[in-house]
Amino acid sequence: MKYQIFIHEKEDDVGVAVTDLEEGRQARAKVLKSQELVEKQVTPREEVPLTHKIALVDLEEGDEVIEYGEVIGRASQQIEAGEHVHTHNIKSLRV
Amino acid sequence: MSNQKLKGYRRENGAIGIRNHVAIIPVDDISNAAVEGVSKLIPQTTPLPHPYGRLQYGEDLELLFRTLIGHGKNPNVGAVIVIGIEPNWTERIVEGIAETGKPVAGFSIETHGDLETIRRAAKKAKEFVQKVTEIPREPIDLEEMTFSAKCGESDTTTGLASNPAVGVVTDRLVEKGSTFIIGETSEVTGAEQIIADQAVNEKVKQDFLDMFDEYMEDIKSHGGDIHGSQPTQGNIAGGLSTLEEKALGNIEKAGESPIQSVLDYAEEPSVSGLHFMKSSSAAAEMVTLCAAAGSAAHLFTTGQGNIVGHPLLPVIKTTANPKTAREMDEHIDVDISGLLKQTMKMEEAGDALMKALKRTINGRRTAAETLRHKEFILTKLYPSA
Repeated sequence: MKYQIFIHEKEDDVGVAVTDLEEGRQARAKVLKSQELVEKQVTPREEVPLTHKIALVDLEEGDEVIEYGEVIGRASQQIEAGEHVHTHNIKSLRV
Repeated sequence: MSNQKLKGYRRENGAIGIRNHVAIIPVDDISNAAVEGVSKLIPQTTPLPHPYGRLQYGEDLELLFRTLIGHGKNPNVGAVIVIGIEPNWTERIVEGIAETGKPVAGFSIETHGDLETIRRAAKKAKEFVQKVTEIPREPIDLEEMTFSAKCGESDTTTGLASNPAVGVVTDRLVEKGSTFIIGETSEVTGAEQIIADQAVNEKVKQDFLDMFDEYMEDIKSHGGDIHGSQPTQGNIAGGLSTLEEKALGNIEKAGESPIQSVLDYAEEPSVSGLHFMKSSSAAAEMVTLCAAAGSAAHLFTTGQGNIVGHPLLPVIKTTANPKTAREMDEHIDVDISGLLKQTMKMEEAGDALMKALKRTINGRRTAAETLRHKEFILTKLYPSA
């Protein structure tokens, strides 16, 4: 597979693993909603299973998390690029 | 797109169906036994047993009537038997269905008993089955038809791939002039402004926002916390972390077509184009409301593997999750996991869905139909008196 991660919009903080990602093995990511080809690279700091999210950038606790070019929640702890992003480290704003 | 000739059933009122059921509809819970009795004697009929219909009142009663009448009116139905304990409500449902011009007959059990009612209704059902089997499939166009869509057991692949693929189909069908229904009110939470901005005009936009606020207030007033149930355990297993993330994936089904109106539960659209129906996000309830609103075929995307079906409305299931496509393949009509595996483009996924839709229209049984999924689930607004 050419890309192991899909990203919705250029400005997104997270991408979605389209295959199981291995710790330490650099992965290629592609932005889906972009006229020109935008590629990124990220090295997973831990295993990220198929369909789960990976951080593309470092996030501080309290930072808004962007996916689809929109806010999907807030970091509930510090997150480093390459970490698995899920319910343990981001929370909805609609609580 | 293929130029496959489409054939369907043109009903008396011009509505186009793709199945030819003789439905047997109970008005109430205690008429289920007679309905089942008739369907045992005349097995080519489709019984729709359900647990309600007694001492309902107000808006909830109106919804019951709209849903039962809507199922009788659904273009996938060629003729209808209605059975109720009392004559008044039975007659009201018969009259509602009769507006379409299709054959319909009502039977009430009081003063007759179950056995005599079954005998009379079965005789009529036999006549109806013979009658509808002579209705030919005729050439039809997509623009004459009503469709619907929903997602279930969503994960990130739904928002990434299968919902955008349905969005492609939504836009293609709407552009042709078809009618298309989406909904799932609670599941657009976090993306409600995007749906509002898709409204055709300011009035529809305000209708949507008012309906949304009222729906969410209603959940709260009953002690409900949407965060207690959304995202679901299945969603979380599939990588969805927050309600907002789920909603942003959900609304991809809407494509880019303008939303023409906000429909009440089970309300039939009055013009063609895309419509947002006030509805629960629970799969079988939402699909049932779409059937009541006149949908002839339903597109259903799943991430982790929802298996819902309906007795009258064929549910075409698709997934972009390679694991689900492999593990639950008997439930999947269209495997578009190639989108994730990067062997398929979005337009090709749209083509694959259109092809499956056309084959379903022409008579191919869906996975859910073949596996006997017949979920007929009424939406109830509050307790009966």
